[in-house]
Amino acid sequence: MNNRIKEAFASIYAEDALKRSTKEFLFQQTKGYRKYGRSSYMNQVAAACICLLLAFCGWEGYSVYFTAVSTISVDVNPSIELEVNRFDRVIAVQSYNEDGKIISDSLKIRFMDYGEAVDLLFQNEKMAQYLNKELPVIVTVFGEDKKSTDEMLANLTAHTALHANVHCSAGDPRDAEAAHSMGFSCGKYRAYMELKELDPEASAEEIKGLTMHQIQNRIDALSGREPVSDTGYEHGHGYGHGGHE
Amino acid sequence: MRSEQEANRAVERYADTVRRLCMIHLKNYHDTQDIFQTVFLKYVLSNVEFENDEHEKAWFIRVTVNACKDFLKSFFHSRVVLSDELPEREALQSPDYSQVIEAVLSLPEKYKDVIYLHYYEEYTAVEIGRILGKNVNTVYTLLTRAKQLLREKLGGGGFE
Repeated sequence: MNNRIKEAFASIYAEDALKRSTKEFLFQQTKGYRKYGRSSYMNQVAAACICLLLAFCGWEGYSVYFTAVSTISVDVNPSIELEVNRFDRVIAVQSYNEDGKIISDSLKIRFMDYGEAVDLLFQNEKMAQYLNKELPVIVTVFGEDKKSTDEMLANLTAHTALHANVHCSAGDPRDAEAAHSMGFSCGKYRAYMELKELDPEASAEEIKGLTMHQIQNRIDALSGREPVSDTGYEHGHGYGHGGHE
Repeated sequence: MRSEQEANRAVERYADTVRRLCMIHLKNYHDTQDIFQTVFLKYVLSNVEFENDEHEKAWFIRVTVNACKDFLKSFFHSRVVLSDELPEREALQSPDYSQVIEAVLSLPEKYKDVIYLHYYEEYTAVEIGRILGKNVNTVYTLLTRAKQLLREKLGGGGFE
């Protein structure tokens, strides 16, 4: 029987047309593999120009550097957001619950490249407790510039691919403003909106106190899907909304 | 961003693996094509350096599985039914193996990856746990239950 299953899978293969169309798709998406790339020489020139600009522009330069153009929201139970500037540097770390605050207080990732910052976040001892429990880790990228957001999403997917149950996606930047005004991280806000579609009675205060796993299980139950994890493990601390167990 | 040469090498090397994983999760060729292309675009745009070929292959498996699951859970997918859906299983399987493939496709979602990784890729439970981010005991439980279900559907023994 083992051989029958193996042979059955072996009979499935990627058609030449699919491979060909994918290569064409990649060529188009990257504008001939030039869309996102710059030579290292060009990068150095660009960096030098930015330094000169910052030096000459004073306050203006400071403002540009300290303006976030993208947000990376990481939600397990800890809800943390990294605000990233146009130079791919983390300029602020926000926590949205007690678990998130414990982790963000122990991280020194400000002014770091966002990829390295996410690597450090996922290697953090306290964060590792959640990663080892098969809980869904939701990474959501928000940004006004689609090209940068796509590139950031691809990089984060690559950086987190071998961590347990990490799901990366891009969110609507308009959601970020709504999320923050309600005291949600962006990722948790998206989950809340998905739940609200199925259960209009769900209140923001109630949902803030739930872990992402609990929210996902409620979504799954309401939509008749299988639960995301079969561990039954729950752990979490909100900001006094009484949702932790 | 990776070069065209690197991208083409990856397509040739991992296309079949990505295709099989898409086939066991997705219900039509259109969705498969979308996820297939998305996985390779993520590879091209990423700057992660792989330690070796096994590491790179595990990355493709993990990214494909997550992309399929995210797609199945997505807002768009749960509300839109394409009128021109081409049944993926009919488009793919050889008649010789149709019964086996049908049995695998009829398994609940949570069993499909472990069955594929165990029987076709010949990964151990520990390796499957590492790739899928599951506890090794959970993988053993999933494999045992999946084998029982396959035995019921296909009859006979010989499952190891």
